Amino acid sequence: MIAILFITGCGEPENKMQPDPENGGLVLPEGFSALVVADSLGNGRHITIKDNGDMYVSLRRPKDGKGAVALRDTTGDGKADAVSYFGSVSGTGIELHDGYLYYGADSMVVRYPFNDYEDLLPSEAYEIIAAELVDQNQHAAKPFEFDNEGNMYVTIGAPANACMEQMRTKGSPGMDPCPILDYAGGIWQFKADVVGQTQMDDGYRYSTGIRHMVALRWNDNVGKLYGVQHGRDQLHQFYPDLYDAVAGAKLPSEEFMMLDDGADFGWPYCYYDQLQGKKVLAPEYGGDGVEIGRCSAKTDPIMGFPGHMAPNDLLFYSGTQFPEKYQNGAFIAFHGSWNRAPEPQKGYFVVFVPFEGTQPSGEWEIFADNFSQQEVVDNPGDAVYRPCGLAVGPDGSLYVTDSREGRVWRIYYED
Amino acid sequence: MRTNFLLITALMMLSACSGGKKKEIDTSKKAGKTPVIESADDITAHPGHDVYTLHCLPCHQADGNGVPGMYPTLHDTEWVNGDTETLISIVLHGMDEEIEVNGEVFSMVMAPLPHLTDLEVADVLNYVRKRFGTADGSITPEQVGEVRDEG
Repeated sequence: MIAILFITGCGEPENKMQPDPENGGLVLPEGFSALVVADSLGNGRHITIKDNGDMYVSLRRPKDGKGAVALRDTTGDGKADAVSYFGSVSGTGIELHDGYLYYGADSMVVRYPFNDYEDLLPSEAYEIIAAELVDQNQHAAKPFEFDNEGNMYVTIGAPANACMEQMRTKGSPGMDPCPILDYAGGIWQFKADVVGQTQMDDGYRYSTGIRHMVALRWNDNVGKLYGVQHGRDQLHQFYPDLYDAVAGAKLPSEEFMMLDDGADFGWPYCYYDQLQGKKVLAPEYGGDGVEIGRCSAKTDPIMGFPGHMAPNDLLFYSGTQFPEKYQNGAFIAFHGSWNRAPEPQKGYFVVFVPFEGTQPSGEWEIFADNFSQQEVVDNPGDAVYRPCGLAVGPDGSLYVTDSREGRVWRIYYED
Repeated sequence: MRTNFLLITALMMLSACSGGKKKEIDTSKKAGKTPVIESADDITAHPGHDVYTLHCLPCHQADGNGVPGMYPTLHDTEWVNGDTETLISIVLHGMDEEIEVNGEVFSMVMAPLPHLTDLEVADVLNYVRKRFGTADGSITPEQVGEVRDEG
């Protein structure tokens, strides 16, 4: 304590982390601080962190022809002072695994080897692990995750809203059965370390009935895969007689799912209504907002969030830095809605969900807020920042990326 | 004295502005019957406003700025200001290809709106072109019908 006071007194704070003024724009629970690790990186998506603290952020659109950026703090003040762009593919999923940096482009998952794992940058030449992934503009992002048994799970989002005969067109009925489910709208399993797999030949449909899932994470504590779905859009626009503008903003739920082998969550036939606490038949399949029908056979979520908030990342807190309440609980980054207009938008925050075993043990609460820098977000374009990716650093700090400006925050707790 | 001077300057500027707008009104009257959108009241009174609110606002948003990375802005783009046949065709047939708008690339699907009448399409495009664009003149229901017939 005396030593810390002494160092501070000497005016040499550069090797000690200091929170940024106003915590870099974030509102946090008491005891938590934040600093801005890096800024203006590009369209930041997901983030993964090495044991030595090196950080890797995927970019949705290439910046100067590069699809990822590596960050290193060489002085210990928490700020990235080495920033290097690399990699020829851009995308969403990014994760260090088994000495490689895996990367999810929209049509394939590749991995970059390191000449020396302690190097900041991996080799530019990548290996293709899984190719020919469905990539049809909508919900094309390819997040992925690993279990501890040599498997890789990849989200293959449905290139559709509700599997209507005519894409996103009012009055068009749902296709029954929905042919998309044969090749998308679920989680596909691959071998994590086998080069040259393709979705059709080598991929196994692990879970289905999932419209799109950018937030996907293995929970080591219980050995299960979890994710949070991007629920369908436009209930009010397509069925104004069944859903007024307020109902269309609240529904359907963004579903927090526990993904077991063979689970079917019901998209496009069903959606979860968090207000009624049940899965109901979608209007494209004859539903009236109440009728359950075939949805009784579908798997319910473990928690239902309000609609359209766009969950873009999930993690289970494995560090020891945060207070006990947060241990093993889930953090979810909600990128923020667009399909609540003309109602105000919602999301643009990171929430916390306490966990006990495989299930939530309490209500969700907002953990980090004010990413939008607006009292109310009417138009998504007004949001200054949008939280998108999450990772825990070696010291237990929580890192959050932003997709608009490319800011990265480090959130930490001090007694 | 100083206050008076400011007031007079302000009045002069105001009249200069309204002079400019008058000219705009004249142009539009010559070209067609679409009113120029000048105020919040004009926005809601325009026949295209309700069509916009129900069919366009969900994606392009109330302010026409769209959604970053997903749906493009309608403000001052060559898509809105440019070729009217292309614009009508996008509304009727939708769009499912990557496009660049004001330097940003977008790849989300634009839903086709074939269930709108020719008049509704003309109204909403005139609304968008006047409110968010700089285009002169107006699109007629007949033009919409011709593009629809072409398939």
